[in-house]
Amino acid sequence: MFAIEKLILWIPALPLLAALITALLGPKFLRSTCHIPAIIGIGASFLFSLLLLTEVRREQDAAPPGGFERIVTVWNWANLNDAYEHAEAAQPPRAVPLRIDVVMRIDALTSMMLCMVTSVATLVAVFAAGYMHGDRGYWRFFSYVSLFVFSMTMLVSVSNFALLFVFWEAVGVCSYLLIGFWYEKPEAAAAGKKAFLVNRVGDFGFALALFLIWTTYGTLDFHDSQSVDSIASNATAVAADDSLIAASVANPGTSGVLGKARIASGGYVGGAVGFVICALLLLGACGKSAQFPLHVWLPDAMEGPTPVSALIHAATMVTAGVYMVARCTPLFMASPDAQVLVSCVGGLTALLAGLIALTQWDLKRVLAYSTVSQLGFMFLGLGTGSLAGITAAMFHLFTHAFFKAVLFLGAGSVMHAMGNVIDMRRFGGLRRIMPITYGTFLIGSLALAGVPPLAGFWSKDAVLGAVHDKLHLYEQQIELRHAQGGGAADATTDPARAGIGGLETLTDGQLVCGIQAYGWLYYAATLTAFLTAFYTLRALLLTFHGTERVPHEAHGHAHESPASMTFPLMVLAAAACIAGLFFDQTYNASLPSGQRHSFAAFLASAPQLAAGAVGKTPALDSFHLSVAATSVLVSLAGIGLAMYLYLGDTREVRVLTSLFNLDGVVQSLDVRRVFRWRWVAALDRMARRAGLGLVATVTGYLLGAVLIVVSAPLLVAMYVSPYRLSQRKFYFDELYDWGIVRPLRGFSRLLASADRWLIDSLVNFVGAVPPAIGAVCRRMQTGLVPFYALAMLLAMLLLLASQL
Amino acid sequence: MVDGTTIRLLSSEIVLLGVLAFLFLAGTFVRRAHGWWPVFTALAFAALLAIYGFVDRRFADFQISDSQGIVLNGPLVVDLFGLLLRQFALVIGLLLALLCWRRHEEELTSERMGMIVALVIGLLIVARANDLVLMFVGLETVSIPTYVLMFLGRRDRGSAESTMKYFFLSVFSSALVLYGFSFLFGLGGSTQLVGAGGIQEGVARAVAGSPASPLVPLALILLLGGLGFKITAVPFHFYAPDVYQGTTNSNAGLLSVAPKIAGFLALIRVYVAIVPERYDLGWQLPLGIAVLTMTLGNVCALWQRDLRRMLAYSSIAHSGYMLMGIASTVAAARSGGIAAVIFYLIAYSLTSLAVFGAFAFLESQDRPLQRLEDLSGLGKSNPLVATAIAVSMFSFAGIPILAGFWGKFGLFTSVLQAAQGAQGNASWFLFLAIAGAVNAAIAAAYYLRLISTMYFQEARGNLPLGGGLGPFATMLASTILIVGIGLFPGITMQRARLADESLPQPSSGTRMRAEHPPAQPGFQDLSRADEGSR
Repeated sequence: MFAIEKLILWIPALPLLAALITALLGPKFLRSTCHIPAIIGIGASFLFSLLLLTEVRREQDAAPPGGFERIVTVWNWANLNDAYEHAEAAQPPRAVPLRIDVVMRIDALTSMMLCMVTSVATLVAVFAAGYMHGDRGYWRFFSYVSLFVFSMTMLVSVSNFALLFVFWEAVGVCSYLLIGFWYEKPEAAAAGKKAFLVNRVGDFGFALALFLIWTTYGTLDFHDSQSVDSIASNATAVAADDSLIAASVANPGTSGVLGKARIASGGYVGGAVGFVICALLLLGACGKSAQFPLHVWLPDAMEGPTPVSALIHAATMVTAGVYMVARCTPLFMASPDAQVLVSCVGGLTALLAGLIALTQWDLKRVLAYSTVSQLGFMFLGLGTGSLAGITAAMFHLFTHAFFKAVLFLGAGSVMHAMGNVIDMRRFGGLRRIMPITYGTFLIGSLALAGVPPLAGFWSKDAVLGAVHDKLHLYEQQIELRHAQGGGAADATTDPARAGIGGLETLTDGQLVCGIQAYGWLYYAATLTAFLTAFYTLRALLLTFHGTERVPHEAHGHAHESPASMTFPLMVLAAAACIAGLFFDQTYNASLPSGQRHSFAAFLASAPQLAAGAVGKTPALDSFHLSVAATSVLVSLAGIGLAMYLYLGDTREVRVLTSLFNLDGVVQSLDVRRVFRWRWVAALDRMARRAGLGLVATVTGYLLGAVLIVVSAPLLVAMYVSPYRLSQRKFYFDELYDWGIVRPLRGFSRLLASADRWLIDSLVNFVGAVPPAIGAVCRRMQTGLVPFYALAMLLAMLLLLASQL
Repeated sequence: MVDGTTIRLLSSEIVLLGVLAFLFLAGTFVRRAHGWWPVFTALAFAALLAIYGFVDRRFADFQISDSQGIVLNGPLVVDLFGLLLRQFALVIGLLLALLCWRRHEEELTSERMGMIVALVIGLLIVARANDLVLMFVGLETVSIPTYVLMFLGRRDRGSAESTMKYFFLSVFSSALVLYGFSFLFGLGGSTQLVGAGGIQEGVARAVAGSPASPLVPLALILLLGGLGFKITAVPFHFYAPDVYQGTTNSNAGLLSVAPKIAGFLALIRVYVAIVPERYDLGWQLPLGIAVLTMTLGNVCALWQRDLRRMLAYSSIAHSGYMLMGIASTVAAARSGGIAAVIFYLIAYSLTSLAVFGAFAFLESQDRPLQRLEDLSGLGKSNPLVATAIAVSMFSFAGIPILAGFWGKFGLFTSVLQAAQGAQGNASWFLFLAIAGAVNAAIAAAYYLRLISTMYFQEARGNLPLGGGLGPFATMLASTILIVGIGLFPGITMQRARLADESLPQPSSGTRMRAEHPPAQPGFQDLSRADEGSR
């Protein structure tokens, strides 16, 4: 019906157009109407995305078994086809034509990401029209946001690693610009810089991964250069596999890294190279998606305007890493160790961020750490490497976008009313002042906490269920092996497919390791679910319940936000309510098995998920009652604990805080408490009377020294007490500052002085050479024609003479 | 043999001759409305370009085609190289017509335009000549209008002096070319360059014979000397700084483009075509001259405070870079050197026209733009022109995503290819690549100095901006083209590559290309290339 090849071009083009219009006309003509082009551009792009989604749904039914994809070549950007093709040497170098096309792809993964990005972006743009009203940089804001939407839509729809990297950086730049949007504020400027620099670390890994992919696979394209559909449809089902293998072997340049032919033939490199590729890709994803150990930038990024936090740092850009890992699933399938690594990073980050979020006072920071934690959940799901886990992770990404956006925008609404105060200690009991914000925030919180039937429950449960399944799968396998009595050594029969197949290729060691890892991760994730429920409700209760307190910055007229801000809140809250139940009906056994989880079924038609090793793993199709019951129980426990602590009298909070702060240690070790001075003085006096003054003094000093030695570790422990660790974010900032930043700065000072004294003088010397030659040469420029003619003639005679 | 096909192949030249005649005749009678002559000329070029692109290609060039995709028709050779360069010559003609549209010197405008048309005819002929006589006629048809145009410029002592210098030395160089041609005639026994019984075979015979004929080095050196003048190669470059400095900005623009294109076309059509592969002197000469030329050009440019003198040295240096491509092609025919030279020539010409167009726009009759300091503060007073100049300078310096970068990239790649292809001589080409890289670094110094002058120095009074619409349009169009080619280099690269492959094969005992026949670059291929690039 609609030409989807055209749609995919319009979706990024419209925001780009909006960005250009806003940037060019904004400051002079549009002024306070700058939001109009942005909202229209992004909104139209959203409608087109929806159209694209329906078209993809329609067309994927008729697609061949390898999954549905459509490649659109926009233009050939650079073509160095002949780079080394014609080189005439005894050993011709490998012909690796460097051909960078601007290629877009259309498949389920892309269309789903496009819908998510543009829908949230549209609502955030509407919200920002109210939120940013009257800001000096109004046009700048909408120009940046439109540019960001352009970059993000391109990021999810390009079909080439090089371009992915380009737009990966482009969204990074937009993020940098928007974090530092209020660049007069030193914290904002510093936060922007921090985000950019921390991301550089990840991008470095990503770039290395690209180089390695290039040298390993000889191409950076996702897709095959030739249409494989025709080959596959002509061949019979059995022969298809072999012919595709033959094709990919004979023509290594034509099958893309993530193309159907390679997936079908399993032509992936496992072992050390495969692991390193995946680990480096993961490093890149960790940077963009704020995973341990590169998670430190995201909380600081909250210095940017709140709509930006909602759009970029909660819903869209930070999920780019998740998208990338999901897209590269075939690569990760080739390396089970890398999958465990992904899960471990995700689970660790989820737990860590959840612990930190418990004690933060800044409402937006609580939400930021919760974002980090939920992204950790997504990585946990991705790392299971099963169709169920990956689709669950993407489902969590999808629902998280809505409920986290509603939470952030709600926080923005609160900030708007409170005169930009965001410290939860300074306001409270706002539920009567801001009823709509309260209602939507409540829905968002419950969804995040995982209360059924809201969106967060379904997706989080799917992730937990996938981890649980994976664990069971491994356990079954190892039992099977024990029953057979044989090792795994003879299992790797086919070397061509080693590392890409199913469980048979794993060694016993890998299985045991996997069981350990996934087992712990399951418990960690369940604990995190409890923490999530607790800190979310804590933030809600501190902000909206209790006695009504309003900071003086609000100037006494704290009020509900205008309709342009509450409308997006309501829409997002509605989405957060229904999204889960709408897509996930795995509890409904009456439906046929393919339709119970329509989201996962749709996503599974992307070629990277449809075929190959991942396609053979179980899909999301059944409801884990035990897992679901556990997660509901823990989330209800978290909610209950938060309500018990923070509703009404908060005395218990103080008790718990002092308990976790190890206040008792301080008190029990305080010298003044242990030795009452009166007693000491009395003892001393008695000793002197007995003529033992010296002994008493020495004993006193000795006792003091022993006390210091004994209590020192405890005093130190006080500084790293659980409460302080959480409050100070596990000292990651300080650790990086002292461990990396300061040594580097010292080293750079050293190098700078070396540069100044050693290199500069050398360069100056070298730099003086060309002018010196020139000074000689220009003497020859006499201006006399006869001399010129003579010089020409002499030069030729000289050349001739050399030939005789 | 000359027949109806020849006439058809020469249809563009004939049409332009008609335009030329009209300009001269009508210009005598119409003494007002001078502004219309450049518009008319530009439109004529544009129309011809359109016709050439869509009609001529179909009916004249590729109607007849043999298995090689090359057609020899009497003195003419028809191939994709000629097609691409002829189209480009028309673009250059269009831009030159606009560049020489000078608001403050309107008398003799029709003559000036006529001369530009004549010059473009010369370029068209050179791009397609396969005969010594026709080649010489083409070269002179470029040179003679240039003398006239220079004389029609400013009428002061400096201008007259520079015109005379150029005239005498150019005549001298023509004599050298002719002398070289006569030896080639002696070697081949024919004036035809490529083809059965042509000079290519004669030279190969002479080199293969024992003892080798001493006439071959003589002919090659004379040829390189004469053409070296046109492309300002060291040591035939002496005139360039003096002449550029003495003449007007628009004439300097013309000088930096037209003779250089003609010289490189002739080098490719004559020198590259006839030198047998594996003939060492063949690549040693351009290699040595290339190193000398770029080094001397760049180090001397560092000293200049006079804008045109600096750009003269810069244009010398660019010739040096392009000679790298010639040297690598001669040493290893598959190095892609000619494709790189074509790309670089296009990028260089457009950049040069952008700079001189901007200069011509900024100056006026009484206040010529002469010194580097005159540009100070331009970044604030006229950001658009300053941007155009800055873009051009970045392109000259080879900063990525501008056309100049891809040009240098291609040239260095071809040199490295030659280093792999030319067995035993790899070190020479590695040395060439290093020399080129060092030179590119040196060159950045004076290009960036110009930019810093525009943006970081206080203005010393306003520039008159008296150039009018023509130079401005030249500047704008060229700048857009530089950026466009930089953003989408694939299109031009592909065409340049096809043009390279369509050139006649070098004669050699081994016939390197015979091992795998080239992808028959006929009409079909070109159209497919178009699709691929989109």
